[in-house]
Amino acid sequence: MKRAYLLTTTAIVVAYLTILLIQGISEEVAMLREVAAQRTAVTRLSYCAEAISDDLPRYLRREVEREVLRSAASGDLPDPSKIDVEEWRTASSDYLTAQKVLAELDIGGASLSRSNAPEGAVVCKASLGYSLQDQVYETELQGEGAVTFVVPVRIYLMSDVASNFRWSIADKIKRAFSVNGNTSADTVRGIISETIGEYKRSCANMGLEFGVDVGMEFSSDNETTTVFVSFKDLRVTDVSPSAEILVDGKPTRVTFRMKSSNRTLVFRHN
Amino acid sequence: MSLAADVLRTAESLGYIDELARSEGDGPSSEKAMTKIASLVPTNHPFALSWLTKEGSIIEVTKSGDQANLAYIAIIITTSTQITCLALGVGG
Repeated sequence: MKRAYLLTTTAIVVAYLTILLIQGISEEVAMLREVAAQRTAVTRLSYCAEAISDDLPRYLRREVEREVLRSAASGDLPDPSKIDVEEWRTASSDYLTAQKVLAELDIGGASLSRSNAPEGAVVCKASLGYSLQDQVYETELQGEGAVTFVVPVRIYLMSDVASNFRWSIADKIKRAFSVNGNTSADTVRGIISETIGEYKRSCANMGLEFGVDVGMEFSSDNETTTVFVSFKDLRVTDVSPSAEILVDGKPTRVTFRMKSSNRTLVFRHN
Repeated sequence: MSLAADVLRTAESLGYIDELARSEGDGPSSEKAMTKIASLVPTNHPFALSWLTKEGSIIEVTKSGDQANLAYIAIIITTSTQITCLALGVGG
């Protein structure tokens, strides 16, 4: 009787301990699963962060290229306030939400400046701050990074060439009249065509294509000579191999077009 | 998920994603870039690689094997005209 009691009690204790053991193991397994799931969520967040960090430069490059094309067509330098990041912010948030990731994205305004390599091209700098939260496991990932890239279209150099050309024509005509107050119309025409030739040659050496239509009117009386110079269709195109950009999927060259302008020079005879 | 993510991460580092972004509108080139990305999926793993517009229209698709049980990951790709999404599902 006593032995039977002992055996029953032992069996109950063993069964109880076994249940506790199984429960403990399954709790441990559940905990390990939870940890593994959270780790997966963190990996997923870091992957999402990497994916948006990789795409932002692609998006900004497209926007900067568009702005370079737009500003060059109107003879201006690129304006960073025209770089719109809202479309990308919305699309990225939507794309992350679809992957059950709540995103707060802070894109620091893009700044544009002159590059040294290639000389006169555009450097774009921006920043990306992000806070990503996994909507299932509520794990969070915060980070920030800088975006810097060069759009190799030498718009600053093209602008320099266009401005210098107008200044150069006026300066050479002034010098001719300072040496000889009776400089003829043919001499002035010669100066203009010679300067155009010089600019075409030096631009070709720099991988730029230069073109311009210069009109000239010359009038003279006993006291003064008036030279009226009109600059029409002054254009500089970057033809270097790296300066081709994609616009709506088509390779495009950027041409800097200066607005038409006139210059009137009056010289008093000695 | 991690296998698909690894494949897309490798594709990004090899420049295949940029190549795909630049190939938009040029069927043979985008097909070539998609094939390059798909070639990074280990052999004998079923997969589906879909390039979609923001609105969900298909630009390119390439797939192989049983499509029933794939784990997906998607990335955003800005092309010269739009913001698109590339989704890769890989099976075990």
